[in-house]
Amino acid sequence: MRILRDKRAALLLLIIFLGVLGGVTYLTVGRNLTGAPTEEVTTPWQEKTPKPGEERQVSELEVPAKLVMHVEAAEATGSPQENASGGASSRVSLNQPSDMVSIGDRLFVLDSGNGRLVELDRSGKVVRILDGTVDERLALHLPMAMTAHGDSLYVADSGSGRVLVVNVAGGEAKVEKVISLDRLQGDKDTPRPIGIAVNADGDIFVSDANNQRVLKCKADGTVASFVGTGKREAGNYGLNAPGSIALDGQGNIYVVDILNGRVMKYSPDGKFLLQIGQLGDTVGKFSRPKGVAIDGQGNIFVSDSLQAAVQVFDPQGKYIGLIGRKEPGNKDSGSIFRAPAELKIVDRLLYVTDRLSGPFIFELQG
Amino acid sequence: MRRTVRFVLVMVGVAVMTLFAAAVAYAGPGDVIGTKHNLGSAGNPACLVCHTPHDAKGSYLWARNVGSGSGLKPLCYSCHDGTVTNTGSYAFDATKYQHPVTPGSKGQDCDRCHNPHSNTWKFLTLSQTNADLCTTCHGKSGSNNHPIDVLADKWPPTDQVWDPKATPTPDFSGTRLWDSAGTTVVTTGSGYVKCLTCHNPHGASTDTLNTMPTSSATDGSSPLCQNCHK
Repeated sequence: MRILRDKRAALLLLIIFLGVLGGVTYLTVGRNLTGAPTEEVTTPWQEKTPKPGEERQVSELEVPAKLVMHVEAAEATGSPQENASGGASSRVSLNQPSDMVSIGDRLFVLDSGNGRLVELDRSGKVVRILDGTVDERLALHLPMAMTAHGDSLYVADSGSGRVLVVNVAGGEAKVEKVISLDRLQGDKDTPRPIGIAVNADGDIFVSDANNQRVLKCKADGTVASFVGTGKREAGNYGLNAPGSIALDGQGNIYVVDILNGRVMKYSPDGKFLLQIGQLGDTVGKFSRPKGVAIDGQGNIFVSDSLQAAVQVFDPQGKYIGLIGRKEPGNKDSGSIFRAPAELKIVDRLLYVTDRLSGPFIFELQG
Repeated sequence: MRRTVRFVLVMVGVAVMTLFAAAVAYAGPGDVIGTKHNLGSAGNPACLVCHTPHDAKGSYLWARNVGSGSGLKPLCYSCHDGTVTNTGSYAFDATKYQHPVTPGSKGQDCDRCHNPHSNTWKFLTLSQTNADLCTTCHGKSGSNNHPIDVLADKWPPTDQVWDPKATPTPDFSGTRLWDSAGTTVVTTGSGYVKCLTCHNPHGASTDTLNTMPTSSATDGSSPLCQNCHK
């Protein structure tokens, strides 16, 4: 180490060493903190290489549906300044709509970002705004779901832990009932309802995303846990962020178990019947599923965040196909959705509420 | 010989200190277990809430959906939309101004300021949510700019509240004062003016990310300035 007797050489060596060390650290650790080149958008609808003789890959199957109505929500319509003009102006922006229901010919949208209900006509034009100026109880708090029963809307006002029953018969909007969901004994937080369904007897099912359960509010006023353990769990009776709820013709209850990437089916008395799907990022699987709806034949429609599509399963839970590609049949054509959430099916019409793209209505064919 | 030994020891010491500093600055993915993003349960790893280890495309092992273009927004929004959690959905509100991001560019997207694996700072940010975070990129402190880190005793704001969680209605207008620790909102007269007193990266009302308009559509007044300088 004779070279080190020269102090300048030693200093130079030290600087070089630090430089190499810094470079190595940057390449291994620091690279994760700084920018890297932009990556291309890719489609998540992937196919495995088919073995010889294997059937046509299911991901090519598109469930035929014709788009009949679409309203662009605030996300796509312009600058925040333009979007914020959500008052009585003729061009009203929906801000992150979370759900929609139809009662007869009438169409209601839950305009959650603006904390209100909005009535649209079938062409998508706003005909009425139901907000805090109509009834102070209609100043909603990030409401995530609603359903219809008779002439009434049942709104899950998520941020206030309440369910509002709003009668809309005859062009009026009357708040008939406000149900405050109390915390069940042993639960940590007040309930935050993000999914809602009403059965033929008038019992209300709500998904409580704060306590990982589905609550059943009976018509006589009693509230009890329908399914869920109060903690984030899996298994047949455990839920992790339960969301949208739908009922089929037999009164069975379907719950989207968001963070477990599946939909769970229970009998009216709470017995586990079927799990539809599982966590994954290929077709037929889920990653943060949001909405569920059942058609007249018992087929199960589920919207998925990752797929940006509505995936369809037969009554036994077998994957059939999906709805949502810009060009049906071309798996690389991208999605028409940005954030598809709640679903409703009435007769042949599929209602898809996309949080960022706005409401869509499809007519299911075949 | 002793000189050599001393030299080697110095090099090793420097190496250890550098790597230690790097390690502290970089939160490992496993740190998510100590954060609010630990949404798993026994037998169901928290990682699977956001990542899929197989058949994935994309560097985060979460194949980005093609719906909204690219980037982290579909991933973050799919929980922060009011369903899985009701915090932070105002950061995706298209009727308000949000801090610009470059979707799809690693380190320039939401991860420009946030690290979902880290619990060190509030809102899972990369550094403390006061001037430290802003001055990572913005250098608008110093004598040529509106003074910050000064006690606001002389000009206490009229509207002292900006609170997206306020009930019954979220409050997206107003200035806030921060105490010298930089993390507590002070609602009585005294406090320290910081970046967040006038700006907010999410849910702002102007394109310069102010919390109140700086000009009026009808006259020469300035709601933001006059909130303090009456």
